[in-house]
Order: sequence, then structure tokens, then C-alpha cells
Amino acid sequence: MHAVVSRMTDATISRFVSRHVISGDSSTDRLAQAFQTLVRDGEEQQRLLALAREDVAASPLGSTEGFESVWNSVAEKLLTSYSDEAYVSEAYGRELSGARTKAVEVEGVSDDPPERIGAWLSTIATTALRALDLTLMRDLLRIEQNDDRWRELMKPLVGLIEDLLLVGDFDAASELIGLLAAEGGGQGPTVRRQIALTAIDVLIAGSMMRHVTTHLAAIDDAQFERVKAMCVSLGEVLVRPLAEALSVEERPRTRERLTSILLAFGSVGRRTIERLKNSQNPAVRRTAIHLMRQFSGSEALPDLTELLDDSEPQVQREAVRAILNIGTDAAYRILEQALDTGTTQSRDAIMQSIGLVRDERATPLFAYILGHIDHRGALAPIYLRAIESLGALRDPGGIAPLRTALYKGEWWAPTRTRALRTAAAAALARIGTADAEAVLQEAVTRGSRGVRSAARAQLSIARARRTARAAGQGDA
Amino acid sequence: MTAPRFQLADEILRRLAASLRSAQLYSPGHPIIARNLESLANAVQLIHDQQPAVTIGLVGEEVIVDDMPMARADTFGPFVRRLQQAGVERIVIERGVTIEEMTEFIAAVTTIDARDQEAAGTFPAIPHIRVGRVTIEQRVEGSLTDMATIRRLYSDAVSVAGDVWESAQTEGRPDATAARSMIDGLAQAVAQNRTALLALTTLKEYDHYTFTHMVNVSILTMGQARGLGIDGPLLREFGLAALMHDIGKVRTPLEILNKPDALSDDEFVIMKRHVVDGAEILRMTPDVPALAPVVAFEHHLRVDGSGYPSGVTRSSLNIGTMLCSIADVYDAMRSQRNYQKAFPTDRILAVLKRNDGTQFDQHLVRRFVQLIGIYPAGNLVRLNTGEVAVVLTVYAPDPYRPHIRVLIDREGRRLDLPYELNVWETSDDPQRPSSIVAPLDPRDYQIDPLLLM
Repeated sequence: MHAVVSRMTDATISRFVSRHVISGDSSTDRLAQAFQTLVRDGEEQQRLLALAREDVAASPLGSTEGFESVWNSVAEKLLTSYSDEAYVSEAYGRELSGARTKAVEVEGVSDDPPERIGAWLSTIATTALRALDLTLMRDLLRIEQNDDRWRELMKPLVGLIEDLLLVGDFDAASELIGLLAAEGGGQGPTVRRQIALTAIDVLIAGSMMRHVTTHLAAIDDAQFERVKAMCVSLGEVLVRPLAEALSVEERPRTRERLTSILLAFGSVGRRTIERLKNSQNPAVRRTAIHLMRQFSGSEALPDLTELLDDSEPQVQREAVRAILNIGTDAAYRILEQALDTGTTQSRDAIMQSIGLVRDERATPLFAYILGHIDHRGALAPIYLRAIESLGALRDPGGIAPLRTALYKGEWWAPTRTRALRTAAAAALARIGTADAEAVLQEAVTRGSRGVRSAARAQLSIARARRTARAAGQGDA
Repeated sequence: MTAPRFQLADEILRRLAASLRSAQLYSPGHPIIARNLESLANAVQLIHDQQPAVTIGLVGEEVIVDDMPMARADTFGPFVRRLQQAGVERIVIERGVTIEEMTEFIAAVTTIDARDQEAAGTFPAIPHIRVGRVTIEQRVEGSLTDMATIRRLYSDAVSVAGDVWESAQTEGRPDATAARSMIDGLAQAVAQNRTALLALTTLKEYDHYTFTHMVNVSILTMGQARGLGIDGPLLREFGLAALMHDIGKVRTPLEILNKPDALSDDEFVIMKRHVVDGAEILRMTPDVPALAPVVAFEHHLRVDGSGYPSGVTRSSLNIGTMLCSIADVYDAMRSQRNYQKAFPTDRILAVLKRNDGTQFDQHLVRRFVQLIGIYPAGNLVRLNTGEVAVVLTVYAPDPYRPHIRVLIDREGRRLDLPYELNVWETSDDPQRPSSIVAPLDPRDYQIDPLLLM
């Protein structure tokens, strides 16, 4: 308004007043308000009114009777009607506002069908928006040529990946991690490579593994395979946090899957065993043994030997199984030594573990025990259990050591000797092959009295069993 | 504090954060949401095996579960912020809670709008989840039916836009808090008195093009969004995104930004970078909705695949980008720039329509025309009868024939009692105005039309 008024000349304003007074067709009040708005200064008002009076006086109105009286009345009004009230009063404003609200609402007359509006709105539905954000991030990473700016993008990128991992959207997270990993391991500019590798470090040092482990138990196998591939794509730097996550993990399925990821790293995963082996959590120590079996072969024997003394019987049993799995003489020597020097508890645990092994992998160990430990003294019960175990395994490989055991014994210890020979003969009978029967037959024919006695009883049982088995096969 | 209890509490927080975030990131019914809720229910069950209820408190930056201070809030940043935005400061989950109740709770936290007083009162009562709430309320002072209030709101918004711009320029990040607060006010005004606010965008006199343009595009975008039924937090996201659409220009060299003549090819290449810069700036600014960087990046892309950034393709554009693009083109052409004379409104609309179906969605352009009108509210116009009137509201079915207030009669005399008229209504009276023939410059009539609306 000020800009408008400043352009108006004195003549314009005075003519504006005189024209309205002469025409007499607008109210003096309104004219007064306009005049007050246009000319604020009192002296200016007087001066311009004088100019206007000259105009009016020169008009036909000026020559009419009572002109002076009319003019004075108008001038008085023009000079004294100043008001601070806005041009549009509050009441008037309210009336206008009311009129506005009555106006037709645009949305009320839209002829766009609901499907079209629905389609528009679906483009910013939450899932769509998340996809847009992902696309934007991909575009920015691709378009940005400035290395410093590209570096700045790493913070939101890592944040986005963490967000996706938090909610378990591994497909989207994998895609972005793939971009980072490709840049970090690619042939691109060194600067970019370093930026990407630093970002990967930041990602891994953050809450990534916590988020991943949160979801591991719940996702399906196909998705898990993608998670595994995603983890492996990040490279060896993930092995340590992976092992850390594994070392405190309580949930079996999550532990199993973390282990599977660790195994996917190949020999690099071997480095994690030391950490896991010393975990407070027995389940994690078992995982360590599992990893040793996967990675190490006979190199793991020293670590496994340590775990034979574990306070947790389950861990001891896992260690025994792992050693059995290695199956070399060195491995058996370790077990023998453990049986020889260990506490009663550890011996029991070892034997129980060995006894639980139901396949012929254990045969050489039992043979080793029969061949190397004393059937007398503290280890006598273990010797006996080894005999029984060979019988239970029914592995023909057990026949030779059992034959040796059958002939052992001392005349001054008849009870122990009888028990030993009976056990050996019974084990041979359980194996039940023609060779086993031949050993028993030989004992019946050529053995000492005690040996004959033990063998005879078992030989008839063995034959009866063989006949029954043959009949069964014939029936079949 | 026992380790397992702490772990369980930590687990609940993580599950809660994951559930809430997934509900924010994915549409209802998405399997990821269901999976996270199931995990949350399992975690809650574990702690309920030990105790009848678990209490989660948000005290400033701290998260406390029962009596245990947990990880710093920034670990659960978005989760805590969202809860605080929703006015939630304490959550008690009692034994017996069902997965349905948790689903309802997560949905409520995700959708509730604490700045909306009515919505704040409608936080659902969930039998086994009790929520302690604080009310965050920010209202515009004065009545939004009062033109003076709207005008003050508009002028304050332009001033805040200047601050937002400056913070982006000096600190590399726009002041999102100030912007949000300003948008809250504008969004309320758009919802309650859109006509008056839209009228303000027609002003040809302004102190600073850039800031006025920011505010105008924001208002025009929210006006269109409102017409699509968008309201509440989403409407504000549209407003904020539109406000910031050109924020990348803070990195454009001033000699290019303020160049009065047409830009050279090389200069135009530099100018075009503002979409990438804007997206980067906004993507790195905390508390900016995801839509904002997307709109900043895409607002020069057109539905026919033309536009920039070059090498970027979109099979379709999202509604936020499309509405902002229309508002941007409209306001940029309406505004009188150094290198570009102001266009009459109808010509601007003709340009928008010329590209119907190719650069802009024709249905949206039609809606825009219906919203703004050929003669926008607040415009001074000459009628076919020679009278002069101010446009009060646009009549959507016929944007050429609005609701008007006649101020000056056919002899050029100012009326003591202006009268209102629906130009679209037909009449047999030949003296009655039936159309508008031209927009007028209010300066020629010493009139401020906005005061007369």
C-alpha cells in the first residue's frame, strides 16, 4: 500500500477527493477513510484538502448555494475521522470468512474415481516409500562423482542398512551391502574402495550383528541362505563379531545358523575357535568343538584335549566324539591318557560318550583300549565296558581284540577273570558272525577250563541266534 | 539386576523397535511386520514368565525397563523419537497381553499424531498395555478464519524458510525442527482455510523470491494433497518435502543462482546438480521424512521420462513428486524473476496443460486447475460487464467462473456495499456478470484484494 501511495502525486489525491465530493455518490465516511489511508500527515492533509477545495470550487458544485457549508462539513469529516481500525473491521472480516466457508470445496466435486486416487496414494504408502528411499540411495551412490560427497553418503547408507537389518528386510539390506562390498573389493578408484571398506567397518562395529541374530531363528531357509551370502560378502572382518555373537548366543537355532555362517567363511572361521572355546556358555563351547570338527582335523587335538576336562559333561562328550572322529592313533592315545589320568567323573564321561557312539568308528578305539590298558586295577571297569561296547557295535573288526581279551585272566582272581571271559565271549556271540563263532569254537576246543566254560555257554547262544536269523531270512 | 533379566529387557526393546520400525517402513499386512510382532510377543512372553508386567520408560534420552537403565536412546533412536513424538513416555505391558493387542499398540504409535489434539485423545484403550502420555501441542495463535492471522502466518513462514535456507547453507543441514514447526502451522491453515492461504501465494510483491517460492510450493503442494484426502502427519510430510525441494541450491554458486540472463549450457549443468545436492543434504538430515529427499531428487523428472537428473529413470513417479512438480512450475512461472517476466495465471496453466499426458499427469493438472482456478482466489478481475471484483473462492467444476465479490461498478465507482456473486450461476439478466475477461493489477486500482476477501 505504501508503494502504491508513494507513486501518487498530490494532484492525483486531491482530484480523487474532489471527484468524489462533486459526484456525491459515495459516502463521506468511506471517502474519509480512504483519505486518511492515503495521507497520514496532518499538514499534508490540510494542504491537499486546500487543493481539492479549489477543484470543487471550480466545478458546478462550487457555484451552488451552501457550497461552503457542504465543503466544511466534508473537510471536517475528512480531517477528523481518523481511526486505527483496520479497513476491514473484525466484524466485516468474520462475515467474509463465513462466506468463504460456504464456498464449494474442491475435493467435494472431484470426478476422479476412487481407484485412481487410491493408485496415487499407493505410490507413497509406507512400503512404497521405503522402496523409493532405497532407489534414491542406489541412484545417489551411482550418480555422485565427488569423492567427498560420496563419503558423506556412507553415514545415511549405513544407517539405512542398519534400519533394514533391524526390521529383518534382508533382501533390501543385502542389495545395499552388495553395493558396498562390490565397491570395497572392486577394481574402482582406490579412494572409493577405502571409503567403502571404512563404511563396512562402521557397519560391522555397529549393531549389525545384533540385528541379524535377532531375526536368524525366525527366517526361512531360503532367506537364511541370502543372509549367509550377505555376511560372507562383507569379508573376513565379520568373522570376529560373528564369533562374539555366537559366544553369547543362547538360542539353539540361532547358534546353529550363526555357526553355519561362520563355516561359510572357510578356514578363516578357524580363528574364532579360541574365543568360543573359552566362552562361559557350555553351549558355545560345544559350538567351538563343532567348528573344530569342521575346520581342523587332527590339528584340533590339543584344543579338544583341553575340553576333555571341561566341567560340563555334555562338552566332554562332544570333545570325545570329535576326537573319535579324528580317529588316528594320536587321537586314541589322548583318550587313553585321559582315561588313565583323568578323574573318575571324566573317565565316566569319556566312556559314556564312547558308549553312545553307535557306529564302527569307535571299534578301533575299543580295540586300542583292549590292547593298551590294563584289565586289572582302577581301569578294569573301563576294560569291561570296552568289551561290552565292541559286542554292542557288532563290528567284525572287534573279533580280534575280543579273542585276546577272552584268553586274559589270572588264577588268583577267579571272579574278575570269570567276569572278563564271560563278557568277551558274550560280545563275540553278539557279533555272531561265522568268524566270531569260530573263535568261540576254538576256545571251547582248545582253551583252558575257564575259557572253555565261558565260550561254551555263549557258543550255543550264538548258534541259536544264527539259526534264528537264518530262519527269519528264509521266511522273508 | 540379573544378566538374563537384562537380556530379556534388551530383547524386548529391540523387538519393539523392530516392530515399530517395520510398521513405519512397510504397509499393513506385510509379512515383515507380522514376523517382528511375533518375535515381540515371544520376547514379552519370556519376561512375563518371570514377572507379571514390564514397564518401559522414556526419560529424556534414557530408556528404562523396570528399574534397569538400558542402552542409550540413540541405539533405539527412531523408535524412541517416534514414541516421544506420539507423546508416549511410559508403556506397561501386562501378563496376558495378546499379539493382537501388541499389533494394535504398534499401529497406534505409528499412526497417532500428537500434534493433532483430536487424535491425541483417541489413543486406543488396550486391556493389557497401558500407556502414559504427554501431550505435545503446537497451535497457531489467533483464528485461522481471520485474514490477518493467515497473513502473519504466511509472512512468518517465509521468514522461517529463510532461516531454514541459511542453516542449510552454513551448517550443511536445514533446521528441520524450525521447518516442522512452521509446516505444522501452514498445514493447519491449509486444512482449515485453504482459500485464504492459497490467495497469499498469488502475491506478486515479496521480499525474497527463494524463500517465498519455498513457502508457496509447500502451500500449493499441501493444497493439492488435501484435495486428495491427505491429512495429518502425511500432509505435513508433503509440506515439508515441498518446502525443501530446492534446498540443494544452497550449494549452487550464487553467480549462477542469481544470474539475470539465461544460463549457458555449462551453467545449466551446474544448476541441475541441485536435485542431487538436495537429496543428499536431506538424506543426511535427521528427522526429515523419507519423502523429502525423494521429492528433492525427482522434482525435475517428468512422467514422460524427460527432465533430470540425467540417467535416472522411473517407471512412474510418486504422488508427492508429481504434486510438488506442478506447484514448482506454477509458482516459478507465476513469480516475477530477474530473468523471467511474470506470467498471467491462465498462461501458466496453459503451459502446464500443454504437456498434459506427457510431462505432468493430466488428471492432476486438471485437479490443480480446479484448486487454483484460472483466476485464483485473491486475484482482482474485470468482469464481462465491466465491473471489477476480487475472487473469493474457486468453483472447481468451472475454474473460469469463481465465487467473487464485486468492488467497483461498471462506471468505475467503488461500491459502498460490495456484493458477492457466483459467476458460474446462469441467469437471464443480461446485466448480471457471467464471465471474467481479464486479471487486473490491484495497484492500478489502489486496492489490496486480500484485505477484501
